[in-house]
Amino acid sequence: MTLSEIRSVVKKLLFEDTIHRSDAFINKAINEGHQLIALFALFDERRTTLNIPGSRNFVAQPTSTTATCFAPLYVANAESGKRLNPVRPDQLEFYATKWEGQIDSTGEQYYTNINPYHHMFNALILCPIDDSGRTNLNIIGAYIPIDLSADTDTPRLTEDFQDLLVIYAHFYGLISEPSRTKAALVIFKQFVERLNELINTIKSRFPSGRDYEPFPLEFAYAGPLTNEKPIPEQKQNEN
Amino acid sequence: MKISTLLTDIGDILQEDFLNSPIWTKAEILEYIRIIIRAFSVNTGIVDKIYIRNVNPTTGEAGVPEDFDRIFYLLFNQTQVDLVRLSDLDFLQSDWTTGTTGTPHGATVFGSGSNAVIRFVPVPDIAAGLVYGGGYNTLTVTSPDGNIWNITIAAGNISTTISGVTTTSFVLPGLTTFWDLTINNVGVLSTAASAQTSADVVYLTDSTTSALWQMKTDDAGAIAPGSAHIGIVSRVVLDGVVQAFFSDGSHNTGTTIDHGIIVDAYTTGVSTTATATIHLNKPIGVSIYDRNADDAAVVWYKGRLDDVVTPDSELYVDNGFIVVIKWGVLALAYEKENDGQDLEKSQLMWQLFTLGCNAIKRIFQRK
Repeated sequence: MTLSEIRSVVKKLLFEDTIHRSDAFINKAINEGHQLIALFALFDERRTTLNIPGSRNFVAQPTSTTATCFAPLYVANAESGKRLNPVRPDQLEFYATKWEGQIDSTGEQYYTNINPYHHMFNALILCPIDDSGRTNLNIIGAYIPIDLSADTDTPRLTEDFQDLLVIYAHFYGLISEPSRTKAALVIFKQFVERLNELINTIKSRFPSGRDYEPFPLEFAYAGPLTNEKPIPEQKQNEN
Repeated sequence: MKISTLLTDIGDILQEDFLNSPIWTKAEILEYIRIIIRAFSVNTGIVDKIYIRNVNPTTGEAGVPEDFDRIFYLLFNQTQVDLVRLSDLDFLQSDWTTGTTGTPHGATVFGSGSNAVIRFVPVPDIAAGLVYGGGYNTLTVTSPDGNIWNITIAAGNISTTISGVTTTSFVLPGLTTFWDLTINNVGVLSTAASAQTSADVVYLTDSTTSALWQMKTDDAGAIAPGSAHIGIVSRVVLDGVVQAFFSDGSHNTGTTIDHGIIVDAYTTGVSTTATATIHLNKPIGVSIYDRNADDAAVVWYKGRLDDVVTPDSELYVDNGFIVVIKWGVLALAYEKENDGQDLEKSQLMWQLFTLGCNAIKRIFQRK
């Protein structure tokens, strides 16, 4: 679906709830949902070659146009094809103490990642440093997609799950209206259920795992909005 | 994302234009953002920071940065030091409190927040101040009107003040290019492509924290936005006005990266005076130390996102993550006792905020 098609569906749903919002408002809601789903499901996978000039351990995560990689899923040396293993910082010590600045003809073997929250701070820490003084890495990473802006733009999210964008934008509209909290909660629960289906689909494609994995969300609302009666305790059979 | 953009987004959800008898003011929402980004930092544990700290050669103690939350990796002289509980230091060395010296192989942290102290055991026998080899640590640049400006950093604030000392020309290194560090008549720093074929090693020492910063650029003359390790550049705002920043007089449109070394800065006082101070929301460059004399601690810790100060501040969080922050801000807004109060909605948004933070934390399996 295109942005305008998704917006039309959202607008119709909000109209049925007697909520009227501008196209810009609904576009914002759709984009926010798109980016949130990308974060939680790691669905926007892209391949990038990252050139690393010079000898250094710290390198920035790649970008693709203006979309940004926030989690590497697979990292390999572009020349040798050897995979770099993800580790925690303290595990770099297993390669060598004083690992920082170590140069090795075998090229990079391990990496860790810091600061996924922003592309200016998000960095790969590679160990050891390739002795060629220049390295290309092939990185398949999870990206945050850029905003859909033109009406003809289509989401990076697969069409099978684009109803998630409708559901989130519906929730976004409800939360902006007074006295619709209960309805918003119902819609958000739908969003979580459907998002978890997407996450499980992605996880099933990679049974052996990737460097970063999405996890199904565990949302159990506790508050006054649910009228669910507590589950009665089962009586013990005295006989 | 600019805070002003985030304020507008949140205002749209609250149906608040902040103009006509507002139920929520921008100042209130700004305060909520400050509160929530701290909670977001702590709850997700995704803000990683690396700092060099001096170790006191008598006590074996090192202080921590102001935004310290918890430590997850500690080095001394580039070698990992095991982090253990206070009581477990006895197993490393039974008389550790007497201050016996040696090569540190264990450490503990006591105290909390910025008052926390890292204690090395044994006390390093070669503890020394940070040493750096060569380079400049007094920066002076001449503006077109002939004034000589002294550039200093104190507690993360960079200042340009007119000084009478002899100026030196500095060439900052990009990855493969070289950039002259220049300044305009009102003390705004910038860079211009250099005719030189080599760069100077330029350091600035923070007069308050003693952190040592190296100044570099990327090959566009800007500090690479993809790497905070060599700093970033975005824009300079003086008294709310985006400043001309290029030597040719053009200025930042907000969509391009400018040349220079300033990050998200603002001023206090009158910007046209020579002593106007530029405050940074974050420091520039990267702290460094000489590998041949690094008898100091390197602390990898969980910190917090920088405080946002004004609507012109930048929130350095990518889209997707910002949604979770927005949920938290809405929770606080709906909680406030006013005509817009909606405690049910506030409670729902709190739970969404918690859900989002937990999900992020789980994905990144924080240390």
